[in-house]
Amino acid sequence: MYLDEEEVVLNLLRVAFSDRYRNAKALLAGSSLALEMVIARSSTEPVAFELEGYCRAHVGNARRILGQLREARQELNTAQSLLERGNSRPSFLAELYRFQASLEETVRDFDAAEEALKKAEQLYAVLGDTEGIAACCVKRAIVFIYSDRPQEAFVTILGAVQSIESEDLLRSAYETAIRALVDAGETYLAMSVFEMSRSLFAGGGDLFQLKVLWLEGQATGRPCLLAEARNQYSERGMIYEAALISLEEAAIAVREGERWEARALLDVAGPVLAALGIVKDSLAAMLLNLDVTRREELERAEAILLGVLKEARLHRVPNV
Amino acid sequence: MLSSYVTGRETPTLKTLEKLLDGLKLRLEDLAGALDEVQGHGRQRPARSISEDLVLGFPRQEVEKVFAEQLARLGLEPKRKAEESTAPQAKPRKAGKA
Repeated sequence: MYLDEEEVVLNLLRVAFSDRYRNAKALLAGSSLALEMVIARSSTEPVAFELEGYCRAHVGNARRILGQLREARQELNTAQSLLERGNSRPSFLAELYRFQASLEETVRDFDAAEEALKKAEQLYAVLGDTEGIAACCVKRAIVFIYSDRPQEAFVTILGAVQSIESEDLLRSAYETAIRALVDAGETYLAMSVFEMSRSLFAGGGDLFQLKVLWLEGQATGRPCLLAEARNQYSERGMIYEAALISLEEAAIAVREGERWEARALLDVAGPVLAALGIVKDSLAAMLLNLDVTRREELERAEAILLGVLKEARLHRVPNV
Repeated sequence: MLSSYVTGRETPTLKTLEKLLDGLKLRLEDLAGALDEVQGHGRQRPARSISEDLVLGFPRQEVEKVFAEQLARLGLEPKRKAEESTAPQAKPRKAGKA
């Protein structure tokens, strides 16, 4: 493949990738087209193998974002075998490892995610790519959050923030930092960082805005924000996220002794969680005989709901 | 019962007081500070301990500075620190990855 053709392929991947948070289908279409262009050349040069591997890595990543996890893994495995055959493009291989880490995080295999991130970081260190290392740190922090280690997540982000140049990565880093602070109970600082980040967050896509709305609801504990986020997720057919928010709202309602409101929320969330195998018994039924005047009963009910919530969060995100 | 506390006919026990403060998301120190202000005692409140200014082991101000400076460096001027109205209103909860 000639250099100018390679540039076309790389530009195509770059453009498709830059819009990944807004349009994952376009990412898949762009990456697939780039792959077809490379395959059509039928070159046996090592550089062509690496370029094909890089395209497959992007196709795999796009499929992961679209929830096609099995196909994503197949593409990423093929990409790995192609990229590890050569050694002229370590940056391609590093990016592939990051994509693999994202896939492992999606399926909640945190050890495998960490393994992939270490491999990516080693390559970025050799390349002197501080932004690449920062991207690995942000991903690692997200893994820490899922592993219920908010303090480590926050420390990881704090160490990486000053190396970040890209707005997309900074958005992800700040959102992760705020989430870590909320999880750690540092809600005042969480809101302080949230407020200063409004301009940054405003540049995110629709789904990111929705995520931020949910985060603000969690940080402030304002049920109206959570309800709005839940409604918007429901309208998009994202029932898993809507069910998670219902659980959070129910926990707040129980804490405030609003048993009937909690039951109404659980009536909606319960079937979704049961369908995913997260709960067996009816959570709403648990609240039926709850004596709201007894503090111990309220605390016990809240603890049960928070336990379910924790389990639900770790559940693999269904296809979106 | 609450009205008798308000009118001063009765005073709550420490246990009841703790429950009331819990419901208001306040601490005993907050109540003491408010009483000082209302009664004009003019006593200085004890200085905040160093640990109160630490967030997950880091100085709060330094943390805010790092985040604000990076935003400014990329031309994303930070807004002013959270106003009182946006301060947390409820007990912190665990948050999932949205």
